[in-house]
Amino acid sequence: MKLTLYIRRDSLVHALPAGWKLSLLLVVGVLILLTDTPLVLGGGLVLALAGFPLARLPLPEIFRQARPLLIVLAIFFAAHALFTSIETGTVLTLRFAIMIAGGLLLTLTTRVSDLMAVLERGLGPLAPLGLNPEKTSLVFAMTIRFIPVLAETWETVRAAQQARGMDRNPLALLIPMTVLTLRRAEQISDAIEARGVDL
Amino acid sequence: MHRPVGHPDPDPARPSARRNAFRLEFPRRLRQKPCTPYPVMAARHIGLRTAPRTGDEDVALIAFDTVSVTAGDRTVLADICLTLRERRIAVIGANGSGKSTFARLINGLRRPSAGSVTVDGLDTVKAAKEVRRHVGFLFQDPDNQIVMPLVEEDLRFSLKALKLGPAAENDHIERILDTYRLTHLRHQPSHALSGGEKQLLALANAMLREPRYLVLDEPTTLLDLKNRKRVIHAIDALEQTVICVTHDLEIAATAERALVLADGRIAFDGPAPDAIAAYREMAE
Repeated sequence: MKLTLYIRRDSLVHALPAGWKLSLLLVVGVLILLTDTPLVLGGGLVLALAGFPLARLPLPEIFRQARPLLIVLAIFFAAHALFTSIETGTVLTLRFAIMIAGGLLLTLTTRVSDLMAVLERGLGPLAPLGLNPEKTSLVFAMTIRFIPVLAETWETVRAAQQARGMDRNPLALLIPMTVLTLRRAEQISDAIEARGVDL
Repeated sequence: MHRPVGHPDPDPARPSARRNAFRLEFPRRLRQKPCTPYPVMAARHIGLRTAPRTGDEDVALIAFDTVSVTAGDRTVLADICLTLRERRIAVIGANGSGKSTFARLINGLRRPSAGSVTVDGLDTVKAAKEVRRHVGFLFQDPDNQIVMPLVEEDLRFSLKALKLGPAAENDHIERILDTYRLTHLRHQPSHALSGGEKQLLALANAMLREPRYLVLDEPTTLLDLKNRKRVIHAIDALEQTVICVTHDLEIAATAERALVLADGRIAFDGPAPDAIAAYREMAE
């Protein structure tokens, strides 16, 4: 199971139309900004997490794969606790956690093509302003598609550096990653053109 | 009508073509002038026999007319003149010899710096969209050509521009999945596929639009033996004209015609066994 990819299941959450799910996520995003009570936000997080078993997705596996995100959240909380206050840190971390859980639930239960269709419809009115809805939705789809590919590239670069006796150094990883990603982007662009997709 | 191997010019009315056509006397040194039958010269130089090819001379399928490609100061391809009429064409050569650029010129992914490439008379720059409808392309790394997260979504993405409607799209997708024995993977994430399955999916994508030509850029380089066989088997079964850029001499050997590229020039053009022998000799 890849955390960002759609998993086919027969569930109520899967059956909900993509537009509804996306709208719900937007509404939740606004609602959590209207309250700063940790208890209410904590309740919101429990509700968001309850969506996973409802969608027949194993919560322990989700937590296992989301470990890097949880670490980021922990650092975020610690930084706020240190420099502002524990209460502010709690509120902001809970808000992020709710949005992350909601976003994961959306991508794991909704086919990207359905989300693309919703985005294209939703962004249609902005076309006269110069926004290309098809391009925008394709960027969204490709972001999801290439997360595992980029993760694999990251592992390859890291393994190559370890094989040469280099210690873990994020900066030293960043340069080859950037070069490889740009090269890949060029090839992907060629491939899309070669498929005759008119954007 | 018989013609010398590599008879170059799609437009024999051009002065340069009149001057060079059928010129069979060559200097000893290997150097290529625009639109001279250099392959014959190269073949003779290394002591190989070349035979004239025959074909339907009235229909020019893929034609390179004095094509050069430069990247900054570097010449990637120089003065390529040829007409491709065969159903199976292999392009071999060392790394950096210009093979991939040659392949990309055929469906307009690269623009010539000079000269022109035409496919069935359509200029690959001026009529790029039209050309791409007829020329499918398969890249070396399938991960770079699968752009959607699920197998079915990726196939549907290829059909999007045709605006067929959901029912017709489903028909096409079911048929192509069945052809390449990928039906069981229809709802799978494309990332989870094996290398061979990914390459077959990429091939299925290219074939969905029913192109007349298929250009393959080292399609088996990243595959293991089993997947390589699967992909070769699928390519063998194609009715389309196939132009295959490859390092795999076993694949090249099955072509009707093979080109050897060296330093951006066609160093040999002729039957595959002779081309492979020439390539081996050059590599020594």
